[in-house]
Amino acid sequence: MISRRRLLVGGAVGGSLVMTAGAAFWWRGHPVEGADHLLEQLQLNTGLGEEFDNLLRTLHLLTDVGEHWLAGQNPPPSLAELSQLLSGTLNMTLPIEQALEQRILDDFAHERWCDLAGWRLSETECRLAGLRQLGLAAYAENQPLLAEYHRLTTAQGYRDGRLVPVKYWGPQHTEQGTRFNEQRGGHSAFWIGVDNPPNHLVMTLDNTEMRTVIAPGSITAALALDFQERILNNPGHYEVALVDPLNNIRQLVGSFEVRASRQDSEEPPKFCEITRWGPNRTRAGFAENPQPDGSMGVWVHTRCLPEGVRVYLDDDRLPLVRTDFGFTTAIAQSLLDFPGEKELYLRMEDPEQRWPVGTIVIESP
Amino acid sequence: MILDLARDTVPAELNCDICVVGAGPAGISLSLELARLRPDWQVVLLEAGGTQAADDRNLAIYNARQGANPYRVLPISRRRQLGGTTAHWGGWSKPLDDVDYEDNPAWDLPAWPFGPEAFANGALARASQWCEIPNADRRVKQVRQSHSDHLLPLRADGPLSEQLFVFSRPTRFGTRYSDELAAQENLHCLLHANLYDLEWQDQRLRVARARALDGPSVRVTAQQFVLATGGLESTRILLNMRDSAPGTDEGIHSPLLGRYFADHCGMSLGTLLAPSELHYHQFNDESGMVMPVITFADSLLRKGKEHNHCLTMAAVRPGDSLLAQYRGRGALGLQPSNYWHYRTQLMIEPRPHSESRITLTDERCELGWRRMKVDWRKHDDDFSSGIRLYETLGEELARTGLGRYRPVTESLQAFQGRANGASHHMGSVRMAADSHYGVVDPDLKVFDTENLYVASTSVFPRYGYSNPTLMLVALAMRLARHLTGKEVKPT
Repeated sequence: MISRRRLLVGGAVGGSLVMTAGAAFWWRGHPVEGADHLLEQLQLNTGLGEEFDNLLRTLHLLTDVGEHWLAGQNPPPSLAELSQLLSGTLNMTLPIEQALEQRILDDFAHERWCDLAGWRLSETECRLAGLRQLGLAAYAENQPLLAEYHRLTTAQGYRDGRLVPVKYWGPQHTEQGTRFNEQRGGHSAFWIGVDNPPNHLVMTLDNTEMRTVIAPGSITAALALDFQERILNNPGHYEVALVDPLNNIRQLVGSFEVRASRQDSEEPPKFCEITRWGPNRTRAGFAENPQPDGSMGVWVHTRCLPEGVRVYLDDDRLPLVRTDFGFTTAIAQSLLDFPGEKELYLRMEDPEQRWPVGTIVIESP
Repeated sequence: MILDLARDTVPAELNCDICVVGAGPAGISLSLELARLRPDWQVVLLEAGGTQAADDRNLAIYNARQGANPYRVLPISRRRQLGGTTAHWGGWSKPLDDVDYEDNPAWDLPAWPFGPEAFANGALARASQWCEIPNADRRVKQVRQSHSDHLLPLRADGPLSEQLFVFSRPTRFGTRYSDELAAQENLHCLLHANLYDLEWQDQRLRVARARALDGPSVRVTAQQFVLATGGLESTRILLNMRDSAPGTDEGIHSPLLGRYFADHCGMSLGTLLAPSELHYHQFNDESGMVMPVITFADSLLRKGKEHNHCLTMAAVRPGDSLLAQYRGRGALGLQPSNYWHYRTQLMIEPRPHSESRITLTDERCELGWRRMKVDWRKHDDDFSSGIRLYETLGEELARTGLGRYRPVTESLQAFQGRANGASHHMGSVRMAADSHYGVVDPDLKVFDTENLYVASTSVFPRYGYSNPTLMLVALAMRLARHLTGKEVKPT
């Protein structure tokens, strides 16, 4: 861990952005627990000393960078060449982590860049990543350790954790084929009572994300219509959870039950059913599924589309492009400026008829 | 009172002190303000639409041709409805930055003919009330005091700065103020009153004629006229007036009329890696909803090389990003923090472009007005400067151990090709102190006329990045003060 004193020094090196004591960012620590011991067992000898190798073992986050960088080197450097290159640029009188930090910030200040997979990295950063890959590849016994580490840290997707204290939630059951807590557009919806939740949480049902609206005292989420159809028609228990997609944490909320019913409550459709559509949510000021012109592209699956039909978002007519699956449309970003809900629907004028497609939720970013 | 020309009995002749054409945010706030400041006056407000969204026939009056560069937002840019485009606006509000009023030394036209002090005597505060912005006085420094953990530590003398958007409800002027329009006895708001003819006497506009599409017409005689239609329609009406208005090369006959048409370009730029939970997006602080944005520092803007753009940031999932696993490690030159990926969104300030034009075609709409052609053009430096703002931020993050960025590799031409407007129609009826540089004077009066004013975003001579509705209403309040000679004060 870098000390406060070193943090301030580091922040002042490069120039115009400075870290002040009052502006320290939240540090949550290592996001993966229980896997670090695997890294400590890795065999590595770069020739740059034990302190350097110990540090390099822990920098698993450089794996992708190292692979990409080495793949672009022709001919690829040897371990010895890379070690020499790095040692020649680092101030080895400093603790190694501090020497690397200083050199990388200096790289950026003097435009010693390494452009990789679209990202602008520092020359030292890329060499360091490449050195780690070469060093680890030199020992065959590293491979199973790395594979296990990869499995533990990524294959599981979300790791279980606690995000917010849930005070209550519901509904917790419904009958087969019966919508619950029905919202505009025919969407069933869940609610969770919670104080001041982070605004990037997402509610899931059966590991499927739902369109989620965050408010100061609650989290609500509605089922997409095609997903809802699958859930409601299949009795059973489904897990309701909250996930933090930015930190890969999942918190189980409870189990939702669809109880078997002999009654078929479905009504025959009055028009060609909208079988799938999306995206159905975006963030204010930002277009989901952005098109080249910045608008939000929306696709709608339906078996038929009458001649003369138009598509609207509330009162605004949108362009309609017929496709083999139904149609697509585009919502100008200026119509997505403010959080709220807008109805997407099809409309015929003579006689006046409307068919709902669904609700587009514009969330606070 | 509100009367519907298509349905109600309306006198064929109306005499008034002021006739305002167009009941959008400027027309509604101006008319009510005038009627209240001068109870002895009669005010007529002509609105072409009704209380609901316009039907196809009404919208067809707006049909326009486009130039080589598509202006894709044109069909949703205008509403022809009481309240105008506030029927669907997002409520983004912000006074212009100080630098927006100032001439850019690299450009060939003057900016605003006055500074922010012109709104300091109540006009802006009153406009904020009309727009129902609960925290109009909120400034970014205050937000930083209470949310410093969620903003980048920008150095005071660095190349970057911050500004703050605040938000209207968003107020739908048509529904919010219809009761007040109906209750104001010295104000006649006529719905479905489509302006179709004007009558001049020397430099004075005497009469405006309006009619329902299938109904009666009304002849309005007034001492003063205000065009408060949207930016495109105000330009179109003025261009159509050239057939009947007297004069030679100023005001309505100025070669500047219709030129310098501009809109803010909103576009997605690259992805950044930066500390987690940054709030360069809409969020609720203790004052209400706010949105900090990143801009160039004023010192850089005043050198003239850069335009006044702004950037917002939204956290996104890293997906298969090369840096998906990155987090704060000194060995990587990254300060301790969680790091998130952010998608950046740029709002571009366009440089006034003389060939970005609204002209008239020979085709006429149902009302007899010639239709327009919109030829929207942008300068290359609109985009190169915008990209520099993004890359300056990226470089600052990298150099100070606060992140990484993806440089922009797309060509300027590609950026231009995918640029979309924000439905802010500005510049084609420029305001200037001198008729050589503008169509209307600093009091919004059309040069070389005695009694015709324009209260529309089309008068903006420099555009900044701020959404224009708040400043448009502030201009309307300033005009109310000018026309009545009375102070406009917040209530």
